[in-house]
Amino acid sequence: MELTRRNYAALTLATLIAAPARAGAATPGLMVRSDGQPQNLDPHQIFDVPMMGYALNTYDGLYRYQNNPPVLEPWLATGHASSEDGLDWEFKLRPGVTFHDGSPLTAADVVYSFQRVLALNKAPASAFLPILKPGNVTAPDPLTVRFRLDRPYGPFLAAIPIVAIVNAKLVQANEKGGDHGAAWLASNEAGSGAYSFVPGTLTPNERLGMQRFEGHFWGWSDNPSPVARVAMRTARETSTGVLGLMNGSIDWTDSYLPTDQVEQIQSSRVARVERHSSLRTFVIRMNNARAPFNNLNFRKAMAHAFNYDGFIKEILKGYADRNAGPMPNPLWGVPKDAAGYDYDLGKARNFLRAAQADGVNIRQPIRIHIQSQLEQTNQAAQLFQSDLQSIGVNLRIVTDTWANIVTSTGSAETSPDMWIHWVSTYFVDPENWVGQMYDSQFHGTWKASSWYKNPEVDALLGRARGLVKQAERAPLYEEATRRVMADCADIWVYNTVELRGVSNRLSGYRFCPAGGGSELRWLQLKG
Amino acid sequence: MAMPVLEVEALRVAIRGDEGMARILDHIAFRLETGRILGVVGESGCGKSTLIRTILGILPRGAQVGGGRVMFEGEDLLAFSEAELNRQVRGSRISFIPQDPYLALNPVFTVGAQLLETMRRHRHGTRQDHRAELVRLLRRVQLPDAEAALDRYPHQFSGGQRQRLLIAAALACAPRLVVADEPTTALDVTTQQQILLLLRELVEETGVSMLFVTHDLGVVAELCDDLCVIYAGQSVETGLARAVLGSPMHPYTRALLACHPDRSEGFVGIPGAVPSPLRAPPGCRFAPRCPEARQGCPARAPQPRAAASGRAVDCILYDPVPVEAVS
Amino acid sequence: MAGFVLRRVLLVLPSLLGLLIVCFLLIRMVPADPAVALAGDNATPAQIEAIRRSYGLDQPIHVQFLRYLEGVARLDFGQSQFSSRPVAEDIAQRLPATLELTMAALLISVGLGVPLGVLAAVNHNRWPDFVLRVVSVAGVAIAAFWLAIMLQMLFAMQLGWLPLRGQLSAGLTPPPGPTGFLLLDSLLVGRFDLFADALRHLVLPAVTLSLGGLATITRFTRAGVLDTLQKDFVFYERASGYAPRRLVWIYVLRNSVAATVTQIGLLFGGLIAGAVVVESIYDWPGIGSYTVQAILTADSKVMLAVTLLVGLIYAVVNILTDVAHALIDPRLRDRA
Repeated sequence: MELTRRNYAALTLATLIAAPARAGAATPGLMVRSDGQPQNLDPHQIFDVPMMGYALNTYDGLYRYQNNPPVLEPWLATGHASSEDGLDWEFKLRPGVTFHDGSPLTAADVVYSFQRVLALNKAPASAFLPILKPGNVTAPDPLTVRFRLDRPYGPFLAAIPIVAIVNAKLVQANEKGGDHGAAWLASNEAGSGAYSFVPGTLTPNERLGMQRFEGHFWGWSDNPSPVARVAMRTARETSTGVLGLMNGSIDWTDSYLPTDQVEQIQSSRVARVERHSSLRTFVIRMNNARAPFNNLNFRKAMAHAFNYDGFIKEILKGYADRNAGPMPNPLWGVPKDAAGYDYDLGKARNFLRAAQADGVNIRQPIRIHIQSQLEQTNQAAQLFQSDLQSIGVNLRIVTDTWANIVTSTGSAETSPDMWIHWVSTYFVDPENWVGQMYDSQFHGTWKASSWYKNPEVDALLGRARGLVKQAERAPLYEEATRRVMADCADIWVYNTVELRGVSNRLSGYRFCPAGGGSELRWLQLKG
Repeated sequence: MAMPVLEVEALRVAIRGDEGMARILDHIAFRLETGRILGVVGESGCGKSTLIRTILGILPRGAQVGGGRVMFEGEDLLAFSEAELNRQVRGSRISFIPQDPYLALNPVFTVGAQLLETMRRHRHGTRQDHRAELVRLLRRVQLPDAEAALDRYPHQFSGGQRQRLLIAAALACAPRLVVADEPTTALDVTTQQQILLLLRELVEETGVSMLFVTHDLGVVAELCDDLCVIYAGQSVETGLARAVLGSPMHPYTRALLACHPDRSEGFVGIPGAVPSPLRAPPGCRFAPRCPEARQGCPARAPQPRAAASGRAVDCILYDPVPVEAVS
Repeated sequence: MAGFVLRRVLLVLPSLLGLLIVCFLLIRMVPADPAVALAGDNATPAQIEAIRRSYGLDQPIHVQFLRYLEGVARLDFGQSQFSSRPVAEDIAQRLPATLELTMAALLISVGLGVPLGVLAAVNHNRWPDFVLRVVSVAGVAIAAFWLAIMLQMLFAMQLGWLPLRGQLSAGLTPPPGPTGFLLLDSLLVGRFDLFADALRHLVLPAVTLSLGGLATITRFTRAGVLDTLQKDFVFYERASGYAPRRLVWIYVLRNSVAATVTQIGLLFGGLIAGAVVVESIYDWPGIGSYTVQAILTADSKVMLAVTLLVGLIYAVVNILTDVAHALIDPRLRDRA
């Protein structure tokens, strides 16, 4: 049969319109995620929230955090023992674990993984560099790994889940010019996790495919209908992700849903919002090394001028928990007796007067840097601006980016007057918050960008770091936190309630603050 | 007497502008017999181009025909629809030779493409037939290298050559009437003479009729059989060219010939100015400048009077009963 | 003609070099330190310093530039500091998506804009003209992201006719085609289901991207045709009884498109810029979203390579525009 041009056009049109069902129809067995992917796929180069979303599924660690509040549970390891002085650690491995290529996972792979993290010296290394030399990780037998630390380090066990165990032989085979296989692993995968990366499906930052690993050591008997395939399709605008959730083309968004979209999703029949208290604090930083923030009364005036309840209730629609200190409330090491600062413009005025009496020029304009892509930082700054105006403080809002701000926090001179950010859970230990934020040895990193310096606090944190037992460390962190709060080093606002849009096709969602609930193996998928 | 090719009867055309209705043509009347050349003479702004546009049926937006007829081979062109004009008249039975050969050809198409476009629409036969006919015509108008000329672009020809191209084009569909709009004005004097000679020859060879619009009395004397003098949208005097030029009857014609018997560059000898078509008097438009004007002139509706040997004059002087005798 | 093109091509090289120098300096003037961003959330100052050294960021700027230039001469644009992949590879993977999108948008802009412009001119000062004038002003004024959201709400959410985002349904695997162009490849391997799916995904982004260009093309075509309609030769052609449609669509149009062609050339550059927004909204895996990512993370190698690429595209389109002008107007050909 010969097709005329007109027929052909009509045929094309018909194909388009009579499309396979509705636009957003789901594919059986396939789950589509719209949360972001890591900048590259090497878990030893990158360590951030998107990497957790990838690596918790494709790789395994010796231990893994589970539940909320998080509990450290044996994973590849069956258990561990440490010496009395906290210097020697021994981990026993689970037998019979295999990587995705079928080769066995042994102690040699664990040793290689830790040594590789140290050698690459990227983000995941920072917890181990000061206390661990590459040669001090050893494998006396295929199922035993030993660590000898340079000095006792309390957070060591808490940091163990950071290191993903990679297939040593596979990575070594792809080394190029002494790069430890960094170029290769950036777009490939060498893990043993519950899901494996599907080669050829990667467009960095756009799309990535994973499929279930039948031979995962945990087994699948606890999950009658696991997700078979995972398509990661980054949604740059959260609103697009939400729309996709509502029309069925996306099953899972990131966990930072804007609160105004929560009701919209909740009222739909196809999806719901998973709400979980996390360990992620929202902080307004003050540069304690610079006037007027080098004055305690001025800092207190600022802390009393932020409308915490208004921000949480009105802007965040209540989806956050007031957190008056630097440590997330559910964590150990939080001083239960420390009240923190409340919103009271009367008190703020009094402290401002006191600051003025100290010789502080309260009229000088101060600048707060917000992160252009994170609307909440802007909302907080604007709320703050209007209250400060009413007590005569001139706050200017500067739109900035993460990369810029972090660069500027390299020195006290270039650090912003104020800026806003979150502190996520990288490892579940007070060290992740009060330790790295207020010990002056970390000056020059973004986490310590308030340039707070108190020798007593330094000493307390140093001692706590050198102890292993939680019962001994806790009072030290509590005391350090109390003092930091008394010094009003920053303005601590809330602890996050993570909000993730999840399709009703998925059940069995498990949330753990470390990793933000992105471990997919527990999920059950219908249809 | 045989039916004339073209007979314009009491034609009135007005154009709506920003300041109101401009009565551009206010009673035009003439006739053109088969095989003859009728010169239509008038100053700039007298309505010559509106006359051409009316005949071709390409009036600007806002133009209204207020009365009269344009009889072409017995049919009133004013009654034709746009589609009928396009299919049956323009380019086929009536062809057009434009004033400026430099501007009249489409600069981005080959000459052949443009000339063949008309033939393709209005003549039977294959493209090859048309091409052959066109080459024959181009040779006839003495265009050098006629075969190759079709594949060249307008800017590659001189002005005289382009006018020859346009003349050939005008004859390509064997029309009954050629309307020529001052086709020699843009050319130098020598070329002008050659073109006029060529036109005369072609009219004689083909028997076509030609309406030759110009402001140049010299050209009329040389080329035309008949003459129609227009003043401010009114045809004031018609007749054999030789007769009108020899013994003008209308005061305007007389003034025209008196101030420039053999040259055509203007009418500076006549006092006063041409009236605006917006504010023209209802009667004779020449009256304000006329040395022989009477009281009744401004009110006298145009009414050509036949005079001896096919002449017609539209003037109070030649009305059978002088108006002042009555009053 | 060949000489003319060759001269233009040779002139492009110094322009691109100048472009590179300016960009190199500009990027270095931005305070963001790529090493910091690269080091990640928990890095120590020593780690950052090590990264700075390993990427040569501690060298004087002219040394860095010469090193970079040397690489570019070998078509090596360095590594993306973030994806740790060669920039050339990333771009090669993404460029087809952007070209597919911009071509489709251009096709809509020109394919609709030219006829609409002609329609407006032919009906000068009558209702189609008024409607099109309002619409074309709106087309320039409407923000792409607003239009995108409206289109998404209507066609993806309410009606469910078209996909919300992306380039291909999540359940489908792109064809292992030779060109990287999704539409082309799926045809080449005979996967008409993929072709239809990709085409459906292309509609909304392409329409969104085309709108500004559509308005521009309509306006310039309208102005061009109006201008031409005043010309003596158009009167002559009407007097010669040309068929009305052929008169307008062939003889008038070809005389009127010079300015439109220039606009199409400029538009192509504009489309690439517009793709930054559109790709972000529709999650289109092209150069635009890649560039946004690079800027946010201060990935200088990517920014430089993309700048160079866009400069090159501009230059090529410029040459093509000149060639197109010469093809349309024989007078320019004879002059060149």
